[in-house]
Amino acid sequence: MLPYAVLSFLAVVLTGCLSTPDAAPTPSRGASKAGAAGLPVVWWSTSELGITRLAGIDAELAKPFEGNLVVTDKAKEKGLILDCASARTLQTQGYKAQYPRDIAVLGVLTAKCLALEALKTAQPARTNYMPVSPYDGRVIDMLPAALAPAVSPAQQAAIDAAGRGGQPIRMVESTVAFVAARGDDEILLGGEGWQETLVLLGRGDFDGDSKLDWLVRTDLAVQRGTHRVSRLFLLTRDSPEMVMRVIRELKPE
Amino acid sequence: MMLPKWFLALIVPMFLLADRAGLTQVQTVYLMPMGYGLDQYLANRLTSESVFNVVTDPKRADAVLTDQLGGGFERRFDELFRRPEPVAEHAPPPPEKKGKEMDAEAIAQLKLTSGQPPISSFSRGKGNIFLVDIKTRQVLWSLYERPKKILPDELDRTSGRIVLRLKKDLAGKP
Repeated sequence: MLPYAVLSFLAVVLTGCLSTPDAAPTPSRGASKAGAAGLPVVWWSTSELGITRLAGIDAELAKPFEGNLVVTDKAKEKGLILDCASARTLQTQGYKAQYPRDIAVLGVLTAKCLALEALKTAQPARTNYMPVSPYDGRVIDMLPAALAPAVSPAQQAAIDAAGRGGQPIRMVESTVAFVAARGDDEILLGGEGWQETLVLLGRGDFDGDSKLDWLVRTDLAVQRGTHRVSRLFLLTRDSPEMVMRVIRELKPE
Repeated sequence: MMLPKWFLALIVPMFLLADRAGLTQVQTVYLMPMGYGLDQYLANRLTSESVFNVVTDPKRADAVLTDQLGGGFERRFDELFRRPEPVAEHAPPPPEKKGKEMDAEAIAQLKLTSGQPPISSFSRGKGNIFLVDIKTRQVLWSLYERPKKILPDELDRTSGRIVLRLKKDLAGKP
């Protein structure tokens, strides 16, 4: 027979896991202490961000990349990105990936650094209007216009205008469709000539309004070309009827 | 029941040859976008080592290289490689639909176009690479080769290992 204390402990642990599923870390994710009433806690992707606990953020930010990425500025002056600090400094000075093939890698590395910084301020949310996994086609009507692909200044201007009006992605990109979801942290969108993966890097309250926000990296790839762009957005939703709103786009500055 | 060794020695190479036959017929490949831009490093390696001709027009490809399978892949595949279906010259016109029958069809069509495919899974950039025949949709070749870190040199090295394995399999070497 197991002692009563052990049985009680097991009961408490099992009940906690069942009521707050997001609080149970798995190898591909991390989570801080459980939020109230089963609401999502501060959650992050350990496979993308490389940390298993929030206290490890500073160490991860300071860690060298174990390799480098060559960047150049307008004067063709070369620079080397070796860690998060040099990624921030050089990109703020206008340096970009030297080779087009490295653009995606630079985007992913930059997003990781910025996401780690943003996670430092995250708190468990008390209200959640964001979609809940498993995601399906309905998520399209909630996504903001800012996530639409833009390959020209005119397209970007239309997206910005739609974003200010709180319009969904479909209003600026009529071909957008939900393609698939992988677990609760990746959504694949597709459209005429492009595909975009939304990678959830973190979930929590990042702006202090107690509502759940998503930290999302968008990996855009055009078909029949080498154009790749990764961007990092902080998204929220103010009510169950509304389209998601961009709190801000995170860029090196 | 244990199969005799001579039988295995005879039959296994026959299966391997049959499998390799599909692979050796591939001349041109189209690369689907892959996680962390791995497709771009792979394109570079495939071209420089003259393994396959890399094409940017999917309709000119014999096979496609992808890092994902499943519903998401199938949908993108259909969009890229959709060929017009042959129309019978003297086919009778479809019967007129009325009332509820028409409504049901319209609803089905709406569902198809409203971006609500069945929920499916996909794998993005997690280390699997598949070579898929465009005509038969058969996976001709696959490999698990995950980059150890997300940096240009490592992605290039990973691409090198993928292409080396592909070359060996094309040549029938173990």
